[in-house]
Amino acid sequence: MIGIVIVSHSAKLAEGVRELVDQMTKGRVPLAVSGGIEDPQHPIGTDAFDVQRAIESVYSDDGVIVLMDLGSALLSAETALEFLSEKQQGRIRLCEAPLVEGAVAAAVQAMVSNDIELVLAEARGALTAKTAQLKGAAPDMTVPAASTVATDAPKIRLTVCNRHGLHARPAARFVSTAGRFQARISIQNLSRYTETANAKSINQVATLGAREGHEIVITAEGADAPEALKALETLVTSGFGEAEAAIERDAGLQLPEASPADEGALTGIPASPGIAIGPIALYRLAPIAVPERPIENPMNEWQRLQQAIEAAQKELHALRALATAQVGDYQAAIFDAHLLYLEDPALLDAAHRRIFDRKMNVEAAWQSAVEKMVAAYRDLEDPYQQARAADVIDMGQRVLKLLMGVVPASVVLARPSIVVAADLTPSDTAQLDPDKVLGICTEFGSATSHAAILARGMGIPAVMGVGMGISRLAEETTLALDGAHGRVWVEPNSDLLAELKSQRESWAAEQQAVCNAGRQPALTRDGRRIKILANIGGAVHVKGALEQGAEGVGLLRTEFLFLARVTPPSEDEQTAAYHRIADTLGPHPLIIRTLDVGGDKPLPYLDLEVEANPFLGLRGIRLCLDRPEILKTQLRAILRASPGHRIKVMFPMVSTLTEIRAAKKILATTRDELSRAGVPFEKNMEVGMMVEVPAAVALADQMAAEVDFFSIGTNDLSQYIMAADRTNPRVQALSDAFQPAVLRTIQYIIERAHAAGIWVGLCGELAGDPLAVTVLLGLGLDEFSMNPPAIPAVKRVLSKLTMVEAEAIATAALKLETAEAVRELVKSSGNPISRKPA
Amino acid sequence: MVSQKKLRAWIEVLQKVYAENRQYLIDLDSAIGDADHGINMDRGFTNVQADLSKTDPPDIGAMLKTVAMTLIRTVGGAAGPLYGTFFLRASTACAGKTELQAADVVAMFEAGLAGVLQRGKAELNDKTMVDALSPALVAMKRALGNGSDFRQIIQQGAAAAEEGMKNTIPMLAKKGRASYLGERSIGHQDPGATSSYLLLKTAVDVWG
Repeated sequence: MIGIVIVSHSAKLAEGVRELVDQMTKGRVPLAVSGGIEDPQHPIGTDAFDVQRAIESVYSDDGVIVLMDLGSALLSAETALEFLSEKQQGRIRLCEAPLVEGAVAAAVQAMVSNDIELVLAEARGALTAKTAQLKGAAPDMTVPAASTVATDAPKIRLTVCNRHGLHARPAARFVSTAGRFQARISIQNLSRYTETANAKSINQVATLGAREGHEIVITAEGADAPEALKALETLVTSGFGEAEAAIERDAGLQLPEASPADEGALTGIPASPGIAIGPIALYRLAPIAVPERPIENPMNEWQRLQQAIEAAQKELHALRALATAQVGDYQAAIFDAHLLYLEDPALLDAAHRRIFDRKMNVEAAWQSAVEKMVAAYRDLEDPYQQARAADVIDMGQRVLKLLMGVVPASVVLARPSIVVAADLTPSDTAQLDPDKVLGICTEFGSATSHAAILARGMGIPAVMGVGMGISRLAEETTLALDGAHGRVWVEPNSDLLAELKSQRESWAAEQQAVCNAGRQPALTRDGRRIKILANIGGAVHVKGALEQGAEGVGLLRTEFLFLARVTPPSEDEQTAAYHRIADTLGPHPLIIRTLDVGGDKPLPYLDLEVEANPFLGLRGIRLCLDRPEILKTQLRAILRASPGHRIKVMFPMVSTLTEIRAAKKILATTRDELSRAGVPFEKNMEVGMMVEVPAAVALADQMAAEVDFFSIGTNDLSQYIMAADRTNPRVQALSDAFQPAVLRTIQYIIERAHAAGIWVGLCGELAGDPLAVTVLLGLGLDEFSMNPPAIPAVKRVLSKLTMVEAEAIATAALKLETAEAVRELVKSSGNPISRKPA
Repeated sequence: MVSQKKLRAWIEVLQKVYAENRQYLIDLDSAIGDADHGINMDRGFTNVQADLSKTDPPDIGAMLKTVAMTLIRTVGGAAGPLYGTFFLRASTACAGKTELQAADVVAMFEAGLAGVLQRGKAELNDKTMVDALSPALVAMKRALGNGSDFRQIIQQGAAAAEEGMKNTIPMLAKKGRASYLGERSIGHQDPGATSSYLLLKTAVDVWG
């Protein structure tokens, strides 16, 4: 790895720079400092021999970059070179970059690249971000010349789906992935009209400002360009391993198939299914007349904007909470995007320039800056990006209203109605009362607008983009709409009304039938009852899981309570969350997994260190035992939520008996404390552990003596058994859970558990794989827990199998040599999946 | 002609000279720099004295190398690498010699100055030690060419260095900490040129 040397007259300064660099690199980049001289009275100075020592201490053939402060530091550094070998001299670069910024930039780049010229270039460019911030040279919302975009090279367009975008750690992962390939790779943020950036440059990638929802284009030229693009695509679409919920967006984007419009019907975009009939309630966004006035003090105007933005942020946080309560966390996260727009440097910079350079008053400056950003979004080709214009307008209006002291009109409905509007902002939609709003119909908007996503979340039928001046209809006009097909009827005649009503009823009955079918218990052909549970990541998913036919929750990932916040969730907050989920589940069991995070998840209040290998680092139970107060608070909350519910708890990432015993000891202490305080809790709550680390497999008999159940986490287990990273496309095939080595491991775990008299569940993706189900059933697995959408298919597979058949297939599968052979065997063994028409 | 002993005497007296002129150099440097030149030169040559007393270098080259290394290690400021390089190059010019002829002495200064120029990248009239050393070398070479005797050569060198030193007073500093002062550096004698003059003046005093 490339080494970094800091030369300063001052030992304190040198150490300070070291501190700043180490904060970024956690000591992963070899760094040596040479500061001050050995004269207690006059310690300021440099010593060429000490510089030489520093260089030698971090020297490798990858090279060394020396950064220095001023004066004699340069001369000493140059002198030091004279005392090094010619070969070494050729690999050492004295760098003129500013000491602090240069050292940080060089070190960060050195983490991901061994190309000394590239690292040097990064250090030299280290003032870019600072210059942009202080001089206001942030990228403007103007379209760069087309010549900056490579035209014929292979490229891919992707939407950044992780919450924090291409910042800090994800940017570093992006750059390091790009750095593995020879191809020249560039990246451009289409959503911000940035220049193309070098994908191997951490400075450039980080300053693209690519955030969640932004669209990026990655271009690669060179022999391994296809592989590079594939790897980067995997990285970006996997959300840099950050989020699970991100995938849901794509599901929300799928447009239902439009069917031909009926006679007399208006056609719009099907945005949220369901049939609604009722009087319309017009919702008009009163245009705000923005005053223009001469200003005396731009600073006053700017400060008013800051205050309005702060107030808007508070409103958005409140609105987000409201939306969370109504439609769940994922949909509510839409307002996080609004919060991001409020911080958008391009927008703020545009407003700043209008106030200070053009001496515009704050209201006019803000309006103009927002309009420019809106226009930029509307000009984009991608419909998803276009739909973001509505979000920007919404956010802009919020601030404008605050600036002008206008009280936002709320939609108050006297009786159940269909809300008709030119367009609905997400804020408007979130404030609608689902009990009063029968349906939504808009002139503009799309299925991908956040208003539509919210409507779906709230279960309100909606048709968007009807056009035709529908918002000019008279109040109380009767309207009917079919959200699944995007059809709208004005004043439908009685025949049509009758037909629509019967359609509404049959649609509801159909929905119910689908639900009921899924809710049948899973039975094998020979009548064996198999427990099918759901993996969920928050309260919002519980209902859906039950509707899909889950008989409980086999894995509640509690990370949703901990992520994306600045303080850990309180005991009361956690208790309430667990309580709510358990209440919804009623008599069904709920297995709560304690916090499973590590260095790859940003929890600011835990101050987690960046680790070179977070999946082999301080995570899961290791982290919780390191911060026992976190675990204790969570266990108290789980215990407090347990009375009257079937709650079980399990610990992730256990690899030693000491760990499971330590976790159980904390649980015992917590129980004692609650008992003494007279707080009720379920005394017989089952305690289990995830089996996902090979060490826990080897100790399975001893581990089994410590717990009431095992839950096999095949996602991590496969990676650890096969020593292959699932997110690395080059070894993805290895981390396949169908690998015979993984299947034999699962068999071993089940055998040991049953020998010890405890039951075993499996909560990895494998449990939801219809092909795997046969083998797992045959291996004697007691409980399957999977993502809810997989449940119906798994139940179907189980219903076609007998235990004898499954056991025979499993026995044969364990003797096979490859993952493909296992799949082939299951398919050819009459698994119902293979009989499914193509 | 300069014997190894005489050369060593020069170095030893230089220690006293820089100790005596410590405050003077500090004062000069505090006007346009960081006020450490006197401290640095004194510390450097005190350490040179200590190191030389512990060793018995076989020849002048080896002795000057010890001087160079110690200066580089202990001076601290820019003078460390600069005078260090001066003596390092000088030591190479005198490698294996136990006595120096007039031409050798001039060659020694020439090599030393070349090192200073290479290290500091200063030009004449940048208000640095080069403004003393460079005229001194020109004068010495001229005197050598004219067939002057050793004493005259050194004397003329020292005289030129003194003049060069004084000429730095009206100059605008272009290098080092003083360059940050811009116009305000005008009107002050350069401490580096002063310590360089002292180098030659001491040579006259010891060898003359």
